[in-house]
Amino acid sequence: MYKKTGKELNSLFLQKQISAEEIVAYFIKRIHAFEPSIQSLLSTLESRALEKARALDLKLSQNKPIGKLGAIPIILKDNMHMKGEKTTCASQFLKNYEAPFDATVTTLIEEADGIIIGKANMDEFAMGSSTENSSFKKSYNPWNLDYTPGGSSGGSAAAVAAMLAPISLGSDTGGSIRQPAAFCNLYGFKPTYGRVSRFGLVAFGSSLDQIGPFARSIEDIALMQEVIGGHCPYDSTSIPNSKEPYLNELETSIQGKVLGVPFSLLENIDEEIKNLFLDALEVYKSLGVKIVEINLDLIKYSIPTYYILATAEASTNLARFDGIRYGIRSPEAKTLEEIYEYSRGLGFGPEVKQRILLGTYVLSAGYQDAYYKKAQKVRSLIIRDYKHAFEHSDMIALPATPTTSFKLGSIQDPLKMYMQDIYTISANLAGVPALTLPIGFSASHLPVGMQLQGPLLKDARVLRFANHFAKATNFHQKLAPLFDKEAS
Amino acid sequence: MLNEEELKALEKLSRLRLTEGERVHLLKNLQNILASVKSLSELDTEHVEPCSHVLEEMQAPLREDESERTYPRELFLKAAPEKIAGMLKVPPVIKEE
Amino acid sequence: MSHYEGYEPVIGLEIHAQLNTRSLMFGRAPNQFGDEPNVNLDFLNTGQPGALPVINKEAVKKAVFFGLAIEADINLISLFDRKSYFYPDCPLNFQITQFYKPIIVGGEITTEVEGETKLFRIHHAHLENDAGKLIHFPDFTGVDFNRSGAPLLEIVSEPCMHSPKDASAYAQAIKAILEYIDSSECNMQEGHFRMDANISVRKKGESGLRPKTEIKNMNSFFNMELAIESEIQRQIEFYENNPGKKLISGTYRFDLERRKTILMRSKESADDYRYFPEPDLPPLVLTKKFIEELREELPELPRAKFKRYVEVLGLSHYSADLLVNDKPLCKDFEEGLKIAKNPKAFCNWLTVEFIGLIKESGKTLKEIGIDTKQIAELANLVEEGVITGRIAKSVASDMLKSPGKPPALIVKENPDYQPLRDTSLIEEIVDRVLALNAPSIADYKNGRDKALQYLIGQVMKECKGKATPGLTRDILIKKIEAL
Repeated sequence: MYKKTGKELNSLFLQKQISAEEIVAYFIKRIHAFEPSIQSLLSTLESRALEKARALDLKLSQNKPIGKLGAIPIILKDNMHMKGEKTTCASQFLKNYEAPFDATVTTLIEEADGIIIGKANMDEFAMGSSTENSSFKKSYNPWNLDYTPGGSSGGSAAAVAAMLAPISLGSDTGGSIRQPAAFCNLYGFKPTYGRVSRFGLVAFGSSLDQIGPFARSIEDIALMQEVIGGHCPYDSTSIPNSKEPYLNELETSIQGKVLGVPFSLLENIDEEIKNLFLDALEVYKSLGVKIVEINLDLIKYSIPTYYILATAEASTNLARFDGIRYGIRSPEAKTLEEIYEYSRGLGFGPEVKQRILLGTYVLSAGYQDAYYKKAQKVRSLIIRDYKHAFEHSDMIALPATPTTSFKLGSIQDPLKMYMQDIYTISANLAGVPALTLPIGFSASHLPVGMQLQGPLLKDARVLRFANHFAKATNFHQKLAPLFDKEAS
Repeated sequence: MLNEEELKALEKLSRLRLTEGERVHLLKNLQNILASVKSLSELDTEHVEPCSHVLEEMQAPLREDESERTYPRELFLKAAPEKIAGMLKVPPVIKEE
Repeated sequence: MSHYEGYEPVIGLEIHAQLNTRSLMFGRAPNQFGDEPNVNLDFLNTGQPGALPVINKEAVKKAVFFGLAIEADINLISLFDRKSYFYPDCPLNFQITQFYKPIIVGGEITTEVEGETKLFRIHHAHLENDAGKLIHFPDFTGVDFNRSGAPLLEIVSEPCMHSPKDASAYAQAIKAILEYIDSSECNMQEGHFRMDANISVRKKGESGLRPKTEIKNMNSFFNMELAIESEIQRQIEFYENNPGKKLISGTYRFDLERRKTILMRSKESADDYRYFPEPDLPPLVLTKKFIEELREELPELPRAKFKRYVEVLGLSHYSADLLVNDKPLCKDFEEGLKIAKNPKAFCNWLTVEFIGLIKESGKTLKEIGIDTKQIAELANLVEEGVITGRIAKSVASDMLKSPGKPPALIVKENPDYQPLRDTSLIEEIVDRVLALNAPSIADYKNGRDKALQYLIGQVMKECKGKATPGLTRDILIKKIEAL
């Protein structure tokens, strides 16, 4: 059953070939068996999930209408609220924090009868590219346990790659869904900014964050987006009237469409990745798609731009964690200032502190013009670049990551770590929809992904391009060998 | 270039306490990062509008003025580290209205 | 202003008005005062992670009403920004405010200052959210988030005031407008209306502005006048004793007991607010249609009402100003106007007699149980000549002793109040008075009208005010001429 996609499980359930309870119990069993080796989850919601499953089985037996995600087990990154469950963001600061309300995505999933079975590990407060910044534990890549699953949504990616659930949700601020997807041979989708509600998502970079799904099939991505995409009245940055169909749009032909490629950006990536990328372009050619060169040279400025804007926003988003109203409070603190300084000193890891300090710096008097305002202007230039690129193309293809996954502990230099996001960040800066799709494996059997980026609001088109590639290839069907077996 | 003095000032502004060891490490990292972001000055942005919101036509929606106590006091106080008589408790603060 | 020794004070006021919406500026918790601590909470006003702001339409409307009332420019596009600072009453440790592009720009207000009509200009007004409440105890401070997130309209004047009276008059005029357009209850005890003053002084004729100090915590107009005066004197003394030196800016609070301003913090130690655009809120966009529809809904504004009272009803500037700046009293006045025969006389009875009589009690007429329509009735009784003004004063006291009793009934029940109609009785009294006041007769005959007034007074005294002045005067003149 672990090989089934979410959509397939839902069909089996609706056809009464298998009950929701059996499905959930099956995946819980897999979690017990395989989670110790990948450490992808921070909590397993066993009793809650089984209860929901039983209730769903009852609902089906009473012939009541079942939601689109009926009986599909789903994992959420631990920065999304489920009322009454812990939301830790993998931080010591929030290690005992109980979410006071459901995130909109949680509400939508449960209304669609999806069953949330666990919360996934992540880099602390979504800051990182390897999940090594989690203050609780590292996660391991199911394709090679010495390697990272990527970050910051590493846990969400690892869980789906080990088939502990067919679908998970991550969040993507600079590539945190797309990079792990590439490392784990998955589809990982970052929707157009504003497509999915951020209400109940612990904010990192508010103008950049989006929630999106991981899955092994493009249908599951489309299915998930149909459920979680749409206007939310609790999020002022949510696009109005934005619910749209994706599943029925997947088959529409892409013959004659133009795929723009910024070839100049291929200079600095691994030879293996470059070759697989070029092979993937050939596949598109064979599908009748025209390849043209486009100019996205400004992408090389996207890392400094991002690290100024995201850290600035984050420095204020994380200011609420002060030891006064919830979260940890330092037992040594005696004065008010000490409560702030010691609690935050105690509760935050080094990467988080670094980004808060950087963010405070770039906003501070005397530096704001040179850093923050400058970065905002460069963001405008990057948006302009994308607009120009889309005047000459219907879709952009570019690498997802400069390297394949790397060994845990092998990247210590923060600047080198930040370079992981070189191809993904610009989509967050421009707000465009972007997807990683599997395009092959390296000589050392590590997955390689490619990225599609579409014009603003053209989420369906991105999924469609990916779907046609999926029908012509089978990379996405390869399963991590260590987990391609039943739980005993 | 960011020096230790400035970093200490940043710590104060951000209400973060760093250990000596952390400070040394972070200072180096921050200096490197700040050096790398200087590349932005290569770009001519004199006639460019800063971007604050990615979707240009987006407008802030307006909410109807209806009230609801969405967060019950018991839950709020349950999460609070220190409380007294329904209020949160903090060390005495200078009166400043 | 000679006591400013050749210096000119320059004053600007920042007024924070809490808008009387049902829910908060960006969150849904109730916006109300007086509840148990921490019962009016939502996820945003307690700074929970994952909470997001959504703008309250009613708060925007009330801000627009204010902008229209002061004839300001309303920015069809305005922006919100984060203002960062750490404080326990601030759940997010930043405030959402409008720093770069506020909703209201410019505007002016005209009001009376000690008999002189003055125009004051507003720099801008913007929307922001309020902080929670700190309750200070000896060993700890309690934090209550009930008020946290309430909508505030911050109204910033130009530095165009030059005396404590200017500031007080300006503030009262702003308050009147806010009450008229029903945007704020303006109850200072409940924190709906807070005033901060920025004060500097300069030599008369000097063109630039010298460093200013900020005074906070002035919770009444009277205290504000004292505080500003005290600070002006302090600054003048500084400059006189330290020629050539620069005043250090700072924030002061007014200590009522010591009657002086006390330094709270100097400028240097203030946090850098690091204002930047609020990423969770796209621009606030209003249409011309929206503004025009609100303009239709505007009630008569204080200044227009003032003009009407003076030009149409003939009230004095003083009375008109008093009424206009006291919305509840004004409302009562308008009620009484419906039946009052002489608006000016009625106004006097209301504002001078009755308000004067109850001043010490500290209560309002409504609280005592007096219906202003009855005050109008009383005024009408005098106007119609049913009773004299003097008798009416007694009736007024009686009305206060038996609130709710109509004046006509009071008059009916008390024989002493019945006007003397019997002219023969009056004539008798007149004869007696004339007999005792020969010198006055002579004075009057020599053209001194004052003597006649005196004689009228004497007659009135004799008959306990029950004869009407007009009738008395006629009889006196007739009798004197007959002599």
